[in-house]
Amino acid sequence: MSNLPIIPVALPLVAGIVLALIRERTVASRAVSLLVNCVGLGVAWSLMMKVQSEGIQTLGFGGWAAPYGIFFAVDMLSALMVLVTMVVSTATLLFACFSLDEFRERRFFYAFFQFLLVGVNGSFLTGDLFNLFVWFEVLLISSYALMVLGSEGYQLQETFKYLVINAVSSMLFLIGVAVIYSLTGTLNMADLSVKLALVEDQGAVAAVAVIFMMVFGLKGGLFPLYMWLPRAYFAPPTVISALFGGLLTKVGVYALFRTTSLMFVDNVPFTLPVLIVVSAGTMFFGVLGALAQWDFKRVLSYHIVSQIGYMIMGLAIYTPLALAGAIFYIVHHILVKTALFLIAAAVEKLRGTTNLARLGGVMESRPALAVLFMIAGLSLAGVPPLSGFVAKLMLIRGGLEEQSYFIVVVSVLVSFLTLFSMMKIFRYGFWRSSESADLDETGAGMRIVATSVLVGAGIVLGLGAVWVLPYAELAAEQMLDTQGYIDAVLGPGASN
Amino acid sequence: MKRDSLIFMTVVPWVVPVLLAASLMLFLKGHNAPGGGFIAGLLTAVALVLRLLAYGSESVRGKESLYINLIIGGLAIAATTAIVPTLLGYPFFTHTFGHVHVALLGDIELASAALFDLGVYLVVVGNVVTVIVALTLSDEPPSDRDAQANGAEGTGAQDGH
Repeated sequence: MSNLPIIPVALPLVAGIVLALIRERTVASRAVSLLVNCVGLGVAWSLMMKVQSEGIQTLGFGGWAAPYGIFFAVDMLSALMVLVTMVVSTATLLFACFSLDEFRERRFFYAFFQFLLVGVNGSFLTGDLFNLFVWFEVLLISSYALMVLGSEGYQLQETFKYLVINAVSSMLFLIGVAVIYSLTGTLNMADLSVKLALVEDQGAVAAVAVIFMMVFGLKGGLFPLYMWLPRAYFAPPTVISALFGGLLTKVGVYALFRTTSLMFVDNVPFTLPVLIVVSAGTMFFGVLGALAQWDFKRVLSYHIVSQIGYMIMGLAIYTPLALAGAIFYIVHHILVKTALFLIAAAVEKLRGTTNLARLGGVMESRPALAVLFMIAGLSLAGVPPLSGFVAKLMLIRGGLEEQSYFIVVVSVLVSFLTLFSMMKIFRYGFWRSSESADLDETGAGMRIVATSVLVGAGIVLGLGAVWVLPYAELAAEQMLDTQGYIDAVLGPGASN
Repeated sequence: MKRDSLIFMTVVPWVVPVLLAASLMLFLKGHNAPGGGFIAGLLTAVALVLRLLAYGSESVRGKESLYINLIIGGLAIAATTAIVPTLLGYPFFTHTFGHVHVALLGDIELASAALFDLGVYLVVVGNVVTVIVALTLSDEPPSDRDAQANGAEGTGAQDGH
């Protein structure tokens, strides 16, 4: 057994501790965090290559055998998520180095950034339900700290709500874990996959499925539980919102994918029909919310909700094509959404506001930003040949093959509304002439570099879909093949 | 903060050592019985907080960064015990133990898991004290401190993670 699966967690953990110690030295902190993130990027890449060539990787902590020990189980979905996490976090970090104020930098920003990565990567890699809860807490606690850092009035107010909502959902999570443990006597997800079918009281299993859907729906920002999201993501500095908007909700979505495919699809018949309705509601009401907003950041925050609907659509259709589409969509969304938030952050630095009514003329003073926004915005709406188009095409084809016409119609409609909303930002934020003057700014060049890295990755993802799709397809295949996952974790020869 | 209770101030010096001893006992028992670094850390933190309540904030003022470093140090110890096995080629978090013979005490089992527990202990002590200090103290000058009972906004709130 190789220790490779733990490195994406251990590396930021060590880095976080070191960064907490050298918190007063901002230049060193920046260098260390960027260096560690680049190494992490390499590790994530090699992990993905290994999963591709050798199949699912497992690691039992402390040498304990499954299902007793805590297991990390890395399939292609996990590996892809970790890789994307490292890509966006590196770009965000670069951006943060050139945009955050000194106070936040000294007050543990870099340390909590790394601890957040510990939690996010841990959630993606673990194969144990209780361990998943623990990683969720790690990332949530770091996110509370990052969100409140700076202690401005609005931040305190919104962080408190965010904290309460997440505390409630964590409590529900724990209740769900407790019930499932009392039903089956195990918390290893592969083992649960086997044992849930044997539980006599299938009504209790259905109840657990509902609890988990609510928990991950809350964390992932699904209809009708997304109300907290747009306000919470508006509160912290935009570069921190970028990290949250790109990554955090997707951890909830990932957990929903993982638990649904391993535990609930076979045992709870209403899972997929409920998810179809939830997905339609998430898409539609999210985009409606976005249309009503007149603030760059708020529009983007509502679009997070709307886009999550597409991922759930793929999960709800549950065919290889739709799942591959959904996984491709998650990757595309994380890259593009973070890029859009970073553009919003750059515009905010330039003009001191993200209110569209007061913005304008960014295209004249910073044409590069306008071009980047155009590419990312069109990609989000799903205009060919960008990555959003490929993802949506797969989802819609998957839906048509299964005759789920309702969700297909909703998704096409929502795409048009998304395009409309992106054009609204472009029209009012970038295009029209404006009286407002540019602020004096430093580090603008590096901020554009950081953003273009992500937009570039998005373009590669779209134009090079031929090379990326096999990974998404493999991930979907492994998700559908629960027996393969079970064998990898529990089977002889896999543990130790 | 009200700190003029003579009874309280007299009792605290007697209670604190008892709490610390109980905390040590819980820490050592923790390996195979109820107890361990977390609960021992809480108990130690209670002892420190009692002193804070009895003698006022002088006992902790200016030491905030000490407690933050306690958290970081504890985290470093705990992480090290988990990571060192991977460098030696064992799975993450592999623990080992050995027996040592000590005069008077007899055979003692030393487990590397206790080091992890020590890390947890330090994190808990540092964390609880940091949070409570942040919530009790404000950044007003010492002369105004008695008038602060209605609690000005603590600026250190973000330290308690």
